[in-house]
Amino acid sequence: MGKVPIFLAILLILCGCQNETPPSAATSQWQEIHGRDEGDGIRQPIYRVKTPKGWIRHDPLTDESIFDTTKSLCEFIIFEDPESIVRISLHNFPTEDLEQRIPPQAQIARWKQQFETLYTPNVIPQAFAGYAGLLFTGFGTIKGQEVMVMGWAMQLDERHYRSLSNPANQEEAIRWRQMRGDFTIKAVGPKNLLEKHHEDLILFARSFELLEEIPSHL
Amino acid sequence: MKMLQKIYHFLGSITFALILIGTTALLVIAGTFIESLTDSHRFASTFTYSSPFFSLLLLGFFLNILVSALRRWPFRIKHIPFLITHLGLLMILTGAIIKNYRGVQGSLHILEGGGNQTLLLADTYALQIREKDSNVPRYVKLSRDLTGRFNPINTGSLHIEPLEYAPHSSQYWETWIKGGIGFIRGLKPFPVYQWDKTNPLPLSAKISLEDYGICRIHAFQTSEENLESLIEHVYLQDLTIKFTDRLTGKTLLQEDLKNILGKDIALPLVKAHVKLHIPYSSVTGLSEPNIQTYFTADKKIDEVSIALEGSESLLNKNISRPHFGAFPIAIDLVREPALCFVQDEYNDIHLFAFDRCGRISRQIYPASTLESILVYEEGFGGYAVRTILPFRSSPESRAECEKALLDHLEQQLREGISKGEDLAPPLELLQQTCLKADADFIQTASDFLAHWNNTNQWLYPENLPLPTQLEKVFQQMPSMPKACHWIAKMFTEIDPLLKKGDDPLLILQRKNWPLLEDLKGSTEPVHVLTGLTQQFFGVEDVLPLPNSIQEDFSPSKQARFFSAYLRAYSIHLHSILAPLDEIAKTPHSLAIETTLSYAYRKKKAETKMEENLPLITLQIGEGKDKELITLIYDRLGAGFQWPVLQGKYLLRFQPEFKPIPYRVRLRNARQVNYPHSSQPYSFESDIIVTHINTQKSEEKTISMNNIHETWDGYRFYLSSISPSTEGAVKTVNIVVNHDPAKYWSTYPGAVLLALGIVLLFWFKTK
Repeated sequence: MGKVPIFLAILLILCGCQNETPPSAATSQWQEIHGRDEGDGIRQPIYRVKTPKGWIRHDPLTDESIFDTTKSLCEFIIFEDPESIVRISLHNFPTEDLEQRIPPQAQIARWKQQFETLYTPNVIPQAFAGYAGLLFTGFGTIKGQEVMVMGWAMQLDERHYRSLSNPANQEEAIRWRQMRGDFTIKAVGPKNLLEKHHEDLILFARSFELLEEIPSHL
Repeated sequence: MKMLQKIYHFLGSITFALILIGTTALLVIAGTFIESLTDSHRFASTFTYSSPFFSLLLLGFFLNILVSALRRWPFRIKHIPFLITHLGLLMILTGAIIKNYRGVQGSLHILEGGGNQTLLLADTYALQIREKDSNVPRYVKLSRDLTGRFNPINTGSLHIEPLEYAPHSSQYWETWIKGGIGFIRGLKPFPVYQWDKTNPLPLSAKISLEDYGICRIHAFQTSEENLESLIEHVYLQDLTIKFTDRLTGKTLLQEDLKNILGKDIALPLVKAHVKLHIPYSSVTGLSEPNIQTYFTADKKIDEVSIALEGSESLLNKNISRPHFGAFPIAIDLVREPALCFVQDEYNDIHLFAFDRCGRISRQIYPASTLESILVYEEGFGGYAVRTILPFRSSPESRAECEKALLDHLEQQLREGISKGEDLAPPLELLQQTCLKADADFIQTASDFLAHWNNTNQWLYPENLPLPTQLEKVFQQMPSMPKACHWIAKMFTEIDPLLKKGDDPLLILQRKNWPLLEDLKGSTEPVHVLTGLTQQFFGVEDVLPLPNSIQEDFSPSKQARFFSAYLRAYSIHLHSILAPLDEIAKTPHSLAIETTLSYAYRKKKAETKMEENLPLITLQIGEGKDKELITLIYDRLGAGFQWPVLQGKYLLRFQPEFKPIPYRVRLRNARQVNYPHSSQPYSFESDIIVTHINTQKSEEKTISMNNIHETWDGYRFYLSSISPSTEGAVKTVNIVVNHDPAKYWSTYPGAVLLALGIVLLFWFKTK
């Protein structure tokens, strides 16, 4: 008689064993990022990125054309005090074919050249969300001011690029052109502030992805 | 009736149960040993777990448990635990049987950023058929009859008859040579010969190329070790070498190269000895093929090298005295352009192209992999490979290349002058002289440098007449710095010794040159001579006027002084010409194509069945059209699809693809390492699982010990990530498992079994 309750108790204990991590509190949220227009000011949502709460978002004006790739798609600001802000700008570079793409190394070289003095630059490979490229970290002086830069220069995998190169109609052609584009995320600001938000910046960048799944025949 | 009763009781007896348990145990033990010996789970399971006999065992267990329960009829209260236990067992077995026949286990291969909803069912056979103008392929399962033969299939308007099957095979690409015959699109097939070096080289074909003339085609089969020798033989066929005096333009000798190779050839004032090097390996390719010519005069040997491949090909490089200029004899090669296809014993095709100036280029088409392929009409038009032959680019010949280099130099000079850049004093002097003589300065400078370069002398020889247009200019040249006269005088004395090959430092030492110490730091003769030239200018102020300064000098003598002036500023054609690859070229390339196909070889089946690549030959028919095609098993279902029936359909022999009601999108995949280590701690993938009908999505991270299970029993396991390196886009393999009976048969059966066991103990205690 005594065996049964012991047996049941063991059974219940085993059933109760679970390894489940309780969900973490939501400290970041998904935000959609629009791509560029075709010179007509009409932009479509192309990307999404997980942004920590407290970052201030700044979009181009709705009637402003950002066909020019020197203009950012969107900016985020980490604001501590008026003297201490980190500016994070997102760019994409739509192309018609593979040969037109700018290699990530060229983007990194361009960022390096912006420094008057550059101490201990660091470049490491990165890959996420179907993109592969480089992460550049550099500290030095730009226009006489000491700043730190963290920059991601990423390119869509060639296989994905080809999948996005046969649109069925004009609407798809416009959207897929944006989806094919390389992107850069560049954070510039005081060294101490970037170091303080280093993890957030890494998670932010690595969460950057296309809204739409890249088409495949499977 | 009695017999039936006996069978009935036997089926429900302990004896039968023990037989079943014993047999199952033996089968499982056998399976373990077989798998261990063969290293093949599939081989083991074919004879054990997946065999019909094992299914019979399961059925036997089912019957045994069912009958042993039914034998207790009529049932009483005390039978309840027993019946519950047996019911649980029956439900578990039912679940196992249903899972065996209706369950799904397959894998999803997903590239980061992409998605998939089609499971690949390994070790199954199907045909993927894609119709032209249809985006959606269909999959037709290949089933076997009791003898193991594949059954014919009717799908749509197609009738597919499997004719032949081989359990294992290998494949290789066939490109330019297929079945011992050569193919170039648009031309008639040409024969391929077994190479025999004792016989004359056979010609496979001759073709006429627009703007280019006749091109010979050779095609051979030979072993890899004979490749180098064969290429040399083909290259030398009808190849003429021409020796020309650079200064007069006169042809000194024109002869078949193969007749003079390795022999001493008498030319005016010099002997020539020519060697050909075409080092070639199938791994490294051509390794700087070249022709080396050794000119011997008065026991002095000058070496001239001509590269046969690359951006500097055909230029005559003076190896012995490069800073003195070009060797006075120019070497050119002339031949009919030719293509040579060689297939080695590994079925790799080596394609060599020889242009009409003797350049060699090479491409390899390995039988195992190809770097680039042409796809026509998404595969419906077939596949091809193309090669671009560097025929007829401009500049083409040696003379054209040298002219292009001079033209480039002139252009640079013009640009410099137009930008207002300062000229070096000797060039300024020449510019002023040309103004006086009404001659074009740039053209004059270029002509003089080229003419001087062809003399192969440190300074311009004073007895060598100038071309008319240069003579006119040098007649007007004013007197030059006195250092130029002294330099000219010095080199008149030491030129004969330099020609013999004596070391300049030793020459100067014998002449007790006072400023020798300053020159001893130079290791190269050219630096010693340049230093010596510059020393004269350095001490010009203290140099006396030479006696000859008052004479009227001939244009040639003026040219000699002028060349000394140029040397002081290190201006000589050798040091100021740009490399040839910086000069813009106009390619007029020739592109040739051939269709791409696979060739197959049947092989004996491997014991490790997972490594087998089956082969199937099918007859495809639609109406009156029929076609035969042989296909090799594509294990991942991601390779080529082959056109049939004039490109109306594409076909691929592959595993079954089974759609699931969920689409899985792979956001990220990563290897997580132990801190400060490259050892992997975990592999993780961030996925979005979307139910196709309801479009409800769930974001999850799956890892090696953390699977995702949907409400209806689909389980997603992360199986592998490749490559694991950071910086590369990953491909992930997710194993998907679905047991349709899990929640209504297997799990409830387990609960009932546990309950039954507990009740059995409780009732027993009571």
